[in-house]
Amino acid sequence: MNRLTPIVSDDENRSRIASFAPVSVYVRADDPEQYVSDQSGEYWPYRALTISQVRDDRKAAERTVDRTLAFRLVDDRDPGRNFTRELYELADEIGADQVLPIIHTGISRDAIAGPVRWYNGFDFQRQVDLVTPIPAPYGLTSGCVKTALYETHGVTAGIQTKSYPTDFGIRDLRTEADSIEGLDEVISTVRSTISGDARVHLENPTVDGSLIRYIRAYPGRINSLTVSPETVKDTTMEGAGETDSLLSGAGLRDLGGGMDPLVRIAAELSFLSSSLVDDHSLAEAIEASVFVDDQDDNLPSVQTRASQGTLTNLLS
Amino acid sequence: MNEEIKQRNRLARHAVVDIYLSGGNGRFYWPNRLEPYHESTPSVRRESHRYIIDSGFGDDGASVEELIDITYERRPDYVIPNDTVRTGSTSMRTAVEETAAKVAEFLDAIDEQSFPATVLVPLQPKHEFHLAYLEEHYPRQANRGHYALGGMRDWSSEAQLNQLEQFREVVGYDAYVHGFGFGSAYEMIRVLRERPALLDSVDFATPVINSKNGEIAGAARKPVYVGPAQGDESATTVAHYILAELCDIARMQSPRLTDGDDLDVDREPFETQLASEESSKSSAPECPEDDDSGPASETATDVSTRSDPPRRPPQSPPPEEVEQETLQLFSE
Repeated sequence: MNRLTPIVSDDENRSRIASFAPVSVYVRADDPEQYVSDQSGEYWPYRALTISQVRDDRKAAERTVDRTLAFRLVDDRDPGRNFTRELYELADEIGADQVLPIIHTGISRDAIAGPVRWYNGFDFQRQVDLVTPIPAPYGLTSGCVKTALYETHGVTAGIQTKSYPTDFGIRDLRTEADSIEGLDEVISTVRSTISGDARVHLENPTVDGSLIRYIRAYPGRINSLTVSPETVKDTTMEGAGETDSLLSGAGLRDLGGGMDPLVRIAAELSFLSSSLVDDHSLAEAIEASVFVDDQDDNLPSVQTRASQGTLTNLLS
Repeated sequence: MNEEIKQRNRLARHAVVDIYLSGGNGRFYWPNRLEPYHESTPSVRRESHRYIIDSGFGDDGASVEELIDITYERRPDYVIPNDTVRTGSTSMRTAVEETAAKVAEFLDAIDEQSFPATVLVPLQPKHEFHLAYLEEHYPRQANRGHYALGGMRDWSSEAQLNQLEQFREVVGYDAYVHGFGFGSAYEMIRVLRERPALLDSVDFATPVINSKNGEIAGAARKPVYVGPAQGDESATTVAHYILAELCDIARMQSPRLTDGDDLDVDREPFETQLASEESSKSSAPECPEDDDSGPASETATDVSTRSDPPRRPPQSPPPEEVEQETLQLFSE
C-alpha cells in the first residue's frame, strides 16, 4: 500500500482516472473475474490480449471483452504463421475493438500495406479498428507507411487507392528504444511521416517517471500504451534491485499483494500523467507511486494550459 | 453504482457503433457523451468516459480560443471545430469553403504535439465532394482521417445510407467516421446492424428530446406519450427515461444481444398513438428542462414543440437538392 492506494483501489475512481488520462493504458492480461458485477478491484476499462492468450483460454478472453470498455487483440504469432485474415476473424468473433497485426519480415511497402489491404477487404460483423503496426527500424518502416498509404500514385502493387489510416502501433520498443530520449526520437520519426493527429500507440514501452513527465509535457503525442506481464516480470526477477528496476523499491513491495499488479501500474500511470495531479505536486506523487523517477531527465519543456482541477474537486 | 457502470459499458460496447448521447443531464452515467460548447457541463463530462465537444456552427458557435480553452478544461477525446452548415440560405459551395477555412484556422491555432484531443473534421454533404475539395485545397485536413458527417439529420434512412455508402467508397474503411444526429431511428438501426463498418460512431439527442416532451420510445422506436416528469428532482426521473431508451437502442444495435426477430415488433399501434398525440399536441403540458447536475430544483420550460436542441439547423436540404447542387458545381 502506498499513498495512491486509496485513490486507485476503488473501481469507480479508476474508471474516472482512465477517462481523464491523456493516454489509454491497456493492460495485457485477462480479467480474472467471471461476472460483470464482480467487484474484486481488478476492473480496468482497457485491456489487450495476444492471439496466443485468446487461443489458450477462449472463455477468459470472452469474459475479459465483456468487462472492458475497449479491447485490443495483439498479434504475437511467429513468422510464417501470422496470416492476417485469421487475426481479423478472431477479432471479429470475440468482439475486439482494435486489432494490432505483426510484421516480421519484408519491411517493405507491401509488407506494411498488407494488413491494411486485408482490413479494407474484410467483412467485419462489427466495428474493429486497425492499428497499423510500425516495427523497428522505424525510419524505414514509417517511410514505407508514407509511400504505401499516402502516396499511392504510381504504385503498381499493394494499395491502389489512397488510404486514411488513423491508428499506428509502435512495436519492439523495449529492445529498440528503452530510454525516453530514444522513445522521443522514435515518435518524432513516426509522426513526421504520418499525418496530422493520427493516433500513436506504444506496445509495451518502458514505464517510469520519465515517461509520465513526457506524457504530461506532450499529451497529444501518445494516445495509448500497453503494459504487459513483462513489465512486471522484468522488475520482480530475483536479484533485481531498485537501481536496475523500472519500479521503485516501494513499487516492488506494493505490487506484491492486493491489487492486480498490472491494473495498479495502469491506474497509477494514468493518474500521474493526467491533469488530476498538479505540476507542483507531481514529484511528490511519483515518489509515492510504484514508479522510479529520474528527475534529471532533460525533457523538452512544453507548458500546457491550466490544469482543470484537483482529483478532490473533480470526484466530489 | 460500480456494477451499473460496468453493465452500461458492456451494453455500449456491444453496439455495432459507438453511441454518443447528445445533450445534457449529468445525473446518469453513459460511456459516450457529446455536448455543444455552450451547453458543456462538468457533470456530464464526469459521468462519461469518452466525450466530444461540438463547437456549434456559424456565429453561434464557439470561437477558436473558446474551443481550445474548454478542451483543456474538460479534456474531451474529440473536438469538432466551428463550421458553416448548408441550409436554404447557404449554398453548398459556401458551406464547404467556409467550413474548410474555419477548420484550417483552428488547426493553425493549436499545437498538435500538446493538444490533448483529436480533431474531427466536419464535412458537409455531399461529403465525398467536401473531401475532394480538402484533398485539393487543404490536404492537411484531408489526411487526418477523422471526419464528422453532418447535414443529414432530416434525411430519410435510405438517403442517409446511400450517402454513407458513397462516402465510404471514396474514403475507405480505415478512416474514423462519425455520423451527426442519427442512429436512433428504427430503419437506421437495422441498417447499422447489417453494415457496421459504415460508421465508427454516431450521436443523437432523441432520448433527450423524447424525455423533454414527456415521451419514451421502446423497441418500436416510436415515442409514446407518458407525460413529463414535473416538480423538484424531476431531472433524476428524466435521466432514467433517457437511460432506458439509450440502453434499448444499444441492445437493438447489437446482433450479439438481439436477433432479427427481437426487432420485429408491431409498430402500427405506436404510429396510431403518435398520430393521435400529434393532433392534440397543442395542449401539451410543461416539463422540466434537462438538468446539469445541480441542485435540487429545476426550472420548467415550455417544450410543447418537438424539436432538437439548437446544435444544428432544423432544416437541412433534402438529398435531391444537394445532389443537384453538386452536379451544378461540377459542371461549372
